[in-house]
Amino acid sequence: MMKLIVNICFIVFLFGLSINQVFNFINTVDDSENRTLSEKPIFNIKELDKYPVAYDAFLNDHFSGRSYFLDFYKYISDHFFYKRTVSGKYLRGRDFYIFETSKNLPLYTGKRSVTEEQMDRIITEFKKRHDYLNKKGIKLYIEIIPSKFKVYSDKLPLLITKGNNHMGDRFIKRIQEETNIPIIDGLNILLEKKKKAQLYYKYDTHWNSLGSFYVHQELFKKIHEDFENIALLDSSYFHIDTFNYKKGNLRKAALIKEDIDIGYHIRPKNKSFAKAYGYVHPSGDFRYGQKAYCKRFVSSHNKAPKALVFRDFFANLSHSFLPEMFSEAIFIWDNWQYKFNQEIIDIEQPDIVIYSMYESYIDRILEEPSFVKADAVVSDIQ
Amino acid sequence: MLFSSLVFLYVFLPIVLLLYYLINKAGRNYFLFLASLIFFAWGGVSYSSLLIISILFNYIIGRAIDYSTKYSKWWLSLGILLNLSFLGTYKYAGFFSESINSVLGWAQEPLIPIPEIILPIGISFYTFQAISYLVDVYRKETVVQKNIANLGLYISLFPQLIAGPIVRYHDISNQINHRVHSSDKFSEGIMRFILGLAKKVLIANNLAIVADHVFNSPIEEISTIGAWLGIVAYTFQIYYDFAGYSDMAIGLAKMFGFDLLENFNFPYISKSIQEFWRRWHISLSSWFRDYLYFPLGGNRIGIKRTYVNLFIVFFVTGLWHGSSWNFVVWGLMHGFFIIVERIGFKNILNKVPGILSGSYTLFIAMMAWVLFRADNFEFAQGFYKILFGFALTNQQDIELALLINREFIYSLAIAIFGAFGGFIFLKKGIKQLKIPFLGSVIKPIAFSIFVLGVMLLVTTYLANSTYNPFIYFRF
Repeated sequence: MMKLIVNICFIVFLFGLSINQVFNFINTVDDSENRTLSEKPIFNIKELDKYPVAYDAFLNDHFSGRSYFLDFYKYISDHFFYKRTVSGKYLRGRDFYIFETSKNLPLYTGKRSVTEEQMDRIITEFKKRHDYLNKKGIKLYIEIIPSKFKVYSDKLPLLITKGNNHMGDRFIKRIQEETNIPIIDGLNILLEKKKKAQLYYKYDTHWNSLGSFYVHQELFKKIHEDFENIALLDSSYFHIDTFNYKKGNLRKAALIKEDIDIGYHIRPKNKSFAKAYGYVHPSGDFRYGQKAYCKRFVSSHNKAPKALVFRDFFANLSHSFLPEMFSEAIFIWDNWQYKFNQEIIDIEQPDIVIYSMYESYIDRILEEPSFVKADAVVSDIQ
Repeated sequence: MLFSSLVFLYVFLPIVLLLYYLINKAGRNYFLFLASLIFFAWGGVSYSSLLIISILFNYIIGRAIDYSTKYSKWWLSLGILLNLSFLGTYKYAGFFSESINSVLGWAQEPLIPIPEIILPIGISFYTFQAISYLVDVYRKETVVQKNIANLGLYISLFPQLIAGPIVRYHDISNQINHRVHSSDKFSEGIMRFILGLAKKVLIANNLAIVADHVFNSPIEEISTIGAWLGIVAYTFQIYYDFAGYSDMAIGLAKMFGFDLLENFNFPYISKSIQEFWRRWHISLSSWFRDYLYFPLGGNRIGIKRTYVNLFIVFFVTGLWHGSSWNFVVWGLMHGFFIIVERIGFKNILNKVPGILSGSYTLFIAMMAWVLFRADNFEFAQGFYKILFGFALTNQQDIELALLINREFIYSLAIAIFGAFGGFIFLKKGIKQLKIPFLGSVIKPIAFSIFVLGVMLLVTTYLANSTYNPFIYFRF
């Protein structure tokens, strides 16, 4: 009797899921992954070796009731094993704050950093850029976007502390000590302002618009020292509204699905700028497309300087207020390469060049050995 | 195809089980042979031809050994040579070329080209089974197999094809044509399969997260605590991984009516390295005993020759596990301690309390696993230093600390409890309690919950992670 029951249980489970795989009685599609799910391979007698691997990938992605199993896994990880981290992808901190770990944790702890020689190369590269821009009468500014680990270190588990070898800290110190390039470290202002408001999303790697706003105000103060005609617009010039932010690149890791994050809409009370079309820099094979690669805004403040910003994804949120400060603002996102983009500079001839860099990606500069090659060939630029 | 994969569990197994029991008995071996070939081909269609060639030439040579009594020894020698050439070419060609180049100082500019050959899955296992067949036929321990599909089934039977147990022909020859199918046996097979699946997916894979983290870290970043944690995790990971696979193989074979011999018997409770090898990978040590150690003379030719024979056996044992000197030294390390025990240390071990002899054995096994897991000697050497307090860092590994969650702790606790026979004691204890309705009600319910629970958890884990290779598949 006992053995019969065991047989029945096994067969029901095994065949139940197999039959569902064929007939799709319970069909679930999980769209939460940051990738395209594998498609069913076509059987080709000439490519037999590839078929099993492709079919395995397809089945794994489209397995009968997969999203239920994924949810169940998450449930036991969260509520039975109380996992702080899963697969090294994220880390749960205090007060529901989630931190991305695969890239940012080793950088924060100093386990991953650049060598002195590599840092020398980065610094030398910025000196070269600075010299080039100086000769052209263009002012260079570097804006450093601090990681959530640094700004919200109080939300991290106790054993996680910042390493002495921190890449961002070393870069800022070297730029300050060895060059006269104005560099804005967003950390101090964010540490001060976070006492009163939430500046980074709980369920996202990025800051919210308010965090972005405070750091850019620091940038404007610095620019104002060189360009007195730039308006120092404080909070009173803007509408600042909160909203419930229900998304976030770490939202899947939320312990409470319904927990709401705080976002901000910031826009000028008297908006004078607008998006300009028709003159774009070719993005080449930029994965996020032309629209993300180059954005241009033109304001009515004709006497204000023209700015060319090589931005990070963090700077996305500044598009609603930053163009108000300039006559024209062009944002180039070169996939965190922070290249010199000399050709673009030569064509645009801005008054100001800003490298708005996320501190965890400073070393990306090293991936482009020639440093000065831009994405676009000059002749391709329309 | 891995047993612990969705494609095996929910596509291959249901189809094969269904068709196997639907077709008549006469066709079952043919069907199972075909299914085994498909199973094998799933891991590399091109390499299926190697398996088929192996079956073909072993069939012909087996028949020749049987037919030609006068030249049977020559046929056997040819058969063994062909099988070993097969193994040598596909598994060791690169290793031997590298070693020769290195010894002769050609490492920088190798004079002997290093062939880039991908190791065909399971080649070490099915080659040894084929040799077993030829030797058994030569020794007249069994009759020659005249049906090529039946020989093909023996060599390629999918439950044990790619990671053992290594089935000696004389142990299974009768079952090829005369095996019993019953509901009870099927049920035993399910329980064994499920147990193996749990060992692999729920225990070994969880321990692997920590072991992999430690062993994949740069040596200068590993702390002493981290190194001990890593080697403890790996010690139990490799046992549960391999023993789990053997359980699955034995269970699956039972579902198709075959009774395979046991491959593990609580090796970590051994009180000597000799005993360890009577409990660890039993099918491999039995194979080497029957087909290498005894033919070399075993312990019958004198003490010195016995030691030489043991040295050879453990050299080959190490080499069988992988084409790298790490594995060879791992094998020799075991061989060394077996010789030391034979010289007289065994008498001391017999006299000291069991906990001391058990600790000695476990300690030696763990130290040897360092060589087994390390990518190279340099890493192993550094790892030993760290284990004994000479770490190059005094910083704690935060990423490792984050991996020590309840899932790991529970897995390790269950692994230790189970590896030292805890569940056997528990079972005996429950039996002695004489609980009413234990056999008629509680046991069926508990077993059903176990089957369904493990299937649910395993499927959940597999759905969550697609990276799940068995450790022993590289051999």
